Amino acid sequence: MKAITQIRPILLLICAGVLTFIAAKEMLEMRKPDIIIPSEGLTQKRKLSDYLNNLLNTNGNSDIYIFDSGEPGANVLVLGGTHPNEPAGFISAVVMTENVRVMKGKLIVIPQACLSGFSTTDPLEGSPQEFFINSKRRFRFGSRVSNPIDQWPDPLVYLHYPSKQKLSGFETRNLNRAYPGKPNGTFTERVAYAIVQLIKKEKINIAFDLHEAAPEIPIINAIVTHEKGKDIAATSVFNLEFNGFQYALELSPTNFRGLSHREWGDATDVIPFLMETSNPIQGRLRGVTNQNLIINGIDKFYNEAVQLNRLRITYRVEGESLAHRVGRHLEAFIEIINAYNEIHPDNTIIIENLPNYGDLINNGIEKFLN
Amino acid sequence: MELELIILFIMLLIFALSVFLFKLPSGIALGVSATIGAILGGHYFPIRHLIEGSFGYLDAILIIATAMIFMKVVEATGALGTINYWIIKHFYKVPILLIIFMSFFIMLPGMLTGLSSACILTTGALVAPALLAMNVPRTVVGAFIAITAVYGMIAPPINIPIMIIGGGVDMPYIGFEKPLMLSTFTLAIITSIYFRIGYVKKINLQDVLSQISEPLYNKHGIKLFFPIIIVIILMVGPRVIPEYIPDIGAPLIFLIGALAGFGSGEKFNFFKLSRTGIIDALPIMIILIGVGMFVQIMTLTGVRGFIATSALKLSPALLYVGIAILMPLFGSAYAASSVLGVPLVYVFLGKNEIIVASALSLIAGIGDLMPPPMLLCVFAAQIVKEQNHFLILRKSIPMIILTLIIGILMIIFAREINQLI
Amino acid sequence: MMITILYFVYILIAVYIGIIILIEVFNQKNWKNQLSLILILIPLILRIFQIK
Repeated sequence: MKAITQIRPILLLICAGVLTFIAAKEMLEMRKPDIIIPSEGLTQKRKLSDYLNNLLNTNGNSDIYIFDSGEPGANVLVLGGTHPNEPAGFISAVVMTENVRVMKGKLIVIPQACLSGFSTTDPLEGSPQEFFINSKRRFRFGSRVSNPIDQWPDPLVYLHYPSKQKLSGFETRNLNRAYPGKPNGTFTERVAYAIVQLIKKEKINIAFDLHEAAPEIPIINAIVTHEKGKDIAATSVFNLEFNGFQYALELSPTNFRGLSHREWGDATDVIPFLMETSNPIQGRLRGVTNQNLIINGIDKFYNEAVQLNRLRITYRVEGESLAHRVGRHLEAFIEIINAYNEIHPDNTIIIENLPNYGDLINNGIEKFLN
Repeated sequence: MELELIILFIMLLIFALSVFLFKLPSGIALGVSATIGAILGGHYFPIRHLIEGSFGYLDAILIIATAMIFMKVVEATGALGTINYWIIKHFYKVPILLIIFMSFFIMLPGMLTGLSSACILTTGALVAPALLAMNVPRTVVGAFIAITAVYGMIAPPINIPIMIIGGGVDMPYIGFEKPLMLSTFTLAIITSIYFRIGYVKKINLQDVLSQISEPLYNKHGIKLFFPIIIVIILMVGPRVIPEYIPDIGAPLIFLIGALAGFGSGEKFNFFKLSRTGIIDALPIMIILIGVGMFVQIMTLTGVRGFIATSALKLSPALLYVGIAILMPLFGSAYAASSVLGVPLVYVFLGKNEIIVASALSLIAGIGDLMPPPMLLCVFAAQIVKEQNHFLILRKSIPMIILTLIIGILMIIFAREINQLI
Repeated sequence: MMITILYFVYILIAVYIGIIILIEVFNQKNWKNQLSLILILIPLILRIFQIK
């Protein structure tokens, strides 16, 4: 009798086991790394663990691509994938890595700053796990924050080190709330610390953190910078506007800690810049959530919301395509570099073969992937 | 009619049918309606999404499971009964003070952790037997601890919904203490007066005391309360002296507290209590699994965006009514703050954002009481051993309405309130 | 260091709760409870095995 009554739970467990296996298999697809094929201008490939030993053999050991001209000049750092759910930041860094030639100075690119976040997606967000550019290149669409496999549990309240600023516990895994980091801190604090160490050791002059934001966030189409970067940002915004790109200059708030544009600037000699594009798949008003939304950026609810005019939404009728967003990042990057060179003629960087906005819109991103 | 509206309607219909007609537990019903919603949205049977959704509240599930084990332990050692005995004995002469004291006591864990469920499972569970012994009806006791738990979650120093909103709009968690304290403390006192006048009858002390278990303080001494004291220290410590007491997370705190029960009072079998604790927590945990799946599929199919966009479409006057209705109906304070709270702060830009965000968190907080999941009502029902958690929701309605009105008034007069305080 | 220990402690907590749930799956008579328990078990298992 006992044996018979146990059949049902066993059957249920077997069914659950099969479903779990199928889901696990799909989830593990996210462990497969993205393929990045650097341009011939690459001089060295390093790892984040070169700057903080204890990241060795962890999911935080991001690849670092170094393009050193050999000619003395400015040192520039570009971070993509600080938030792996903001693909334009990641793909802009990939396009740089796969195309640039540096003629003077040194360019360092980290396309996947929060590597851990690329190995999972955020629950409740219904996100796709990957997207394809022209069906030939597959890239992962990850979580905004580090994978809980690498850092668990979240505290109820995240106390930022060292300011003790309080944020919700989820933010404890957010790389862009963890700066300046801590060498023996949480996983995310260690990644942040390694990046700050890199800035110091490589004597970086200007650094970029490429982001995206939900279309309803007001700081989109802005260049956010530290007080030190005011002049460069003002010049580049002026030039961008002149070329028909709408941009605003925002100064990093002094009372909001942990962000790259605040802490990099405070902790090191670098001049930091953070840029945002409008990313519908991050938005709260978005409709069906899938790969198309990443690539085409067309969403009917944002279209409706823009017309309502109730809150400032950055969304164009034709959609916010990935090519448009990556193009904006690259265009602004080029202008900021130009402005830097103009203001610091004794310490310049010359980067060639980098596509601009027009190139991306006319030819598509795929043209610039190897 | 938009596809998203049809999907939403069918998902809700299937949920209602599963609960009322097929008598499924609401957690499973949410999972079923999520699955059907996904199929309708053209996503076939998205196993990965459904299971990923069940991760949405995994940490909360661990907290609830361990809190329940902890409560079983303090019940078994005799600490719970002793506290009850004391509360009644010392406060019975002035019931209004008793009720106000109880409401703040219930709020305490929520104030410190930002979790409404912690209030019900710990302090709520401590005072519930005392109220029941005073012949207050089960549903009323349930409603009282459920609504007070909402105020506890919203009251400072820790308010997670505001932190979630702040995370979305880049607003630091500074300056919220006053508006939150004023709104929640006032509401807690009004609630206490309401329940005192409505339901607490004059009691015969001896009758009541004879119904509850004997205090064991004389037998075991102060060590009887060690588990509770340890939990309080580990919860308050990281907020007051973070340099010395690190935040080790609520699940571990509760387990340490439970293990500290050994030798503190009456003997107990830890493994057995763990099993009963988990079974008692089952209806709550399965709801969290179901809500996670439901929200994941709502997002995947665009239904979540449809709800948020529809809220923005309301005319300014209707918007206030819309907020009061839609935000709670997300059925979860956290989900409502994230999805509606963030855009709404922008809608009301120009008013005082701190007051607006405080008010939105208060309104979103009511979501923890509301269907579909009715989380706090189910928790409270568990504590007072009431089968029908809808009755608990019904008894809370007057206070829910009052809370929503106060929340909306706070938004409307945000600027003026800011000048006053 | 403490953070690494904390991580493993939480995995152990998940294991403990997972074991209790598994035992209860066989102890509960009602299929609804059995199904509920199994649904809670799934994310715990995936976390314990470091998959999600």
